[in-house]
Amino acid sequence: MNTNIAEDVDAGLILAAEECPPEKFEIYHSFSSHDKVIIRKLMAHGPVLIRGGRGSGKSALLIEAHRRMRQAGTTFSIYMSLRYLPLLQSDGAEYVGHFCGLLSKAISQELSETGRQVDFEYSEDVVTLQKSLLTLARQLDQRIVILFDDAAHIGREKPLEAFFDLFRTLSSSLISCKASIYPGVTKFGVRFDVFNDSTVVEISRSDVSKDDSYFLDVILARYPRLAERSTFSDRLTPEVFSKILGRAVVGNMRGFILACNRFDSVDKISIPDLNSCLLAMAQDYYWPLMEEVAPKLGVYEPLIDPATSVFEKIIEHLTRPLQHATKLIAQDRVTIHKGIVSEFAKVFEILEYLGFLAKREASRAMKSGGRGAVYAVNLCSILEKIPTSRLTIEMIDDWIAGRSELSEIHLSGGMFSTIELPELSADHALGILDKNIEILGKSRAYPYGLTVDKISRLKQAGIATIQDLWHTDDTTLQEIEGVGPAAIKRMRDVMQQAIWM
Amino acid sequence: MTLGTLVCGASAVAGAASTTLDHLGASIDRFSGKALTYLNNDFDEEAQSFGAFCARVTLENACAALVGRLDSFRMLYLAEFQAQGAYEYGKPTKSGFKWTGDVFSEDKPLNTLWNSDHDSAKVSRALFSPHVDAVHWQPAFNEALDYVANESLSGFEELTSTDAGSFISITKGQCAPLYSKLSKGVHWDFFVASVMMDEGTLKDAIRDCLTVVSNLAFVSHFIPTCYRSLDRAQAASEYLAFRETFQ
Repeated sequence: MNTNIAEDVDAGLILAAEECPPEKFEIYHSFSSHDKVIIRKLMAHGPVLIRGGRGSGKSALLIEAHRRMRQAGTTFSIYMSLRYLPLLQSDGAEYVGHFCGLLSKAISQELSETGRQVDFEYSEDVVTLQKSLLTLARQLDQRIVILFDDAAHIGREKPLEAFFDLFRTLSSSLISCKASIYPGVTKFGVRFDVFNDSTVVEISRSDVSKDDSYFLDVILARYPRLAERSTFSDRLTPEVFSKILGRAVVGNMRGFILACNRFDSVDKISIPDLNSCLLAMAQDYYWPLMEEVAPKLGVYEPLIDPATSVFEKIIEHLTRPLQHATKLIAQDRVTIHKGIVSEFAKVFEILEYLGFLAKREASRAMKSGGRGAVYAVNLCSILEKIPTSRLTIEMIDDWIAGRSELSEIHLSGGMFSTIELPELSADHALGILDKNIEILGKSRAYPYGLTVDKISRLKQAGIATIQDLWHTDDTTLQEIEGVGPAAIKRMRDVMQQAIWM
Repeated sequence: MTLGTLVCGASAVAGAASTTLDHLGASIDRFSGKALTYLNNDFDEEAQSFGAFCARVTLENACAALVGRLDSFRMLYLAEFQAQGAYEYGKPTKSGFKWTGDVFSEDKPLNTLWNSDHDSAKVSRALFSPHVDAVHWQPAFNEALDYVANESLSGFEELTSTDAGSFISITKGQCAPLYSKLSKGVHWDFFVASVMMDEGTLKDAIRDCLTVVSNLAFVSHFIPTCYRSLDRAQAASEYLAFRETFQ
């Protein structure tokens, strides 16, 4: 890994495309031929929703589409991240007001940055905004593409109805709205018909992708040392390494980058090193994710425990044959009866959103009768629970080739019957905002977190919660002794990671 | 590999329906071939002028052929009607092939699909009508998924990521705007430069057209009563070979 990347990792930026410095975006991002089809769709006429889990690469695709439109100069494009606390905390007319104001500002800024000598009127009203956008398109004699990143946050589904209403209202032949959403969005509202009012594109960078050199391409672009044959022992090659790592994290780009970062100081990578990496990922990445994400889920926060139980049972089901020595290699994909998936729908969405598992097929006939969805399970969690916890070349070959037959979880087995789904309260606020800033300390959930000293200085200055930190401007923070621009940047980065998914 | 064969199937038995499908298959091949060229090559003036037209003809003829394979009477009626002296180029034809009516249902969907009070004459037999979906497409889609899974075929990820209940809803959602979008390119319905189809929009529309048509065509071979269906293995190999022709 090169020095520049190391600096970015230190700042916690490398994991999120929307926080990557623009001048470094091209260096760190690689797009497959399938991605290029999606990027073209994002640049074309027409409303589009791209759907994918956390770290699946939605933002990178939106940003790349924006970059290409900016370069071509024939379309006026606006990239706008909806990571604003007022949007997260409001709904209905209040949400619409904030949204229109923020979009107005983003349009003005884009006009200024691209040197277009046209003014855009600030507006907090959707009708005025819509008219102004159409006037702008006429003035520029160009169509407009608006890319809304992070439009949908799991646990904040109520404001989504307002968002999709705006999405539909603003869309026209001259204005194309595009947005990234997470798997399982259901609150489209009464006016929005998802199939007729948009094209939905699923992002799945997976082990089963036709473009199976994708992860090797990412390694070539970001970790040149890991693309060299000489970096590996006899039984591993860069191709095998990239494929098994991609498969291990079920195609999740954020997980993949974190796994690659772990090989920074390894001189020669052998299977035991890979083994250690996957086990460490299970402990330091996957399980802390539950802890990190729980307070961001709002109304769904109580589902974290059932989600943990469901996942543990799936892992137990996949590894049990090895406990009894009836199989040598754990099955890594499981068909789960649609009745179960339907009963635990939100739980599966959370697991999928976090990248614990990835849906590979929507409907497959089960040997035991009925139909179910096929999920690929992250190999880190599987490896952690197999009796020896030891990765072998046979496992690697089998998992990469997808040779093993699918495991099945049928309705009649009652595997999840002991898991109770709690009643969800309709007005559960996001717990993260009221959390003590101590949770921003360096931990497994926040590896680039704040030092004890910085947290103590913040508390002495009366900044006790994450919400307090959000509302404190940089000038005030700089007045705290021992807090400089670098520390402020780190505080903001960790706070962003804490609040947003 | 040609899209015409995938959409229209094949038959060793000659007859009016087969002749009509051969004719439609040839049209689909001709226009989809052109559309493919526009999709895969550098964008030029010819692509901008004729790309939408070729994709629109492909979409419409493919849907007509699928209607004909599911409901041969409708296709034979159209073929017979057009062969008569009463068919005039200069007059609109009330009973001609129509997007709304033959492909999309004309009326609002009935609240309950199955009810003894429904007048069967009013039950739409359009390609994407709710009844045709329930009777033909959904069981065929499950059959197709099972075939793909049992044969461990790859290259069908787009189909396997959906389920039988959503297949036609998604397809309808793709076809309706696609038809309108391509129509604007056919009628050159552009009064301001900013809405004219640029490279990205046109190539995206052509790709969507070829994708949606090939998906429908593949699944049609799993409808047991569909005329001129290919053997499943052949349908799968024709589908994969066609999808290989573009990214």
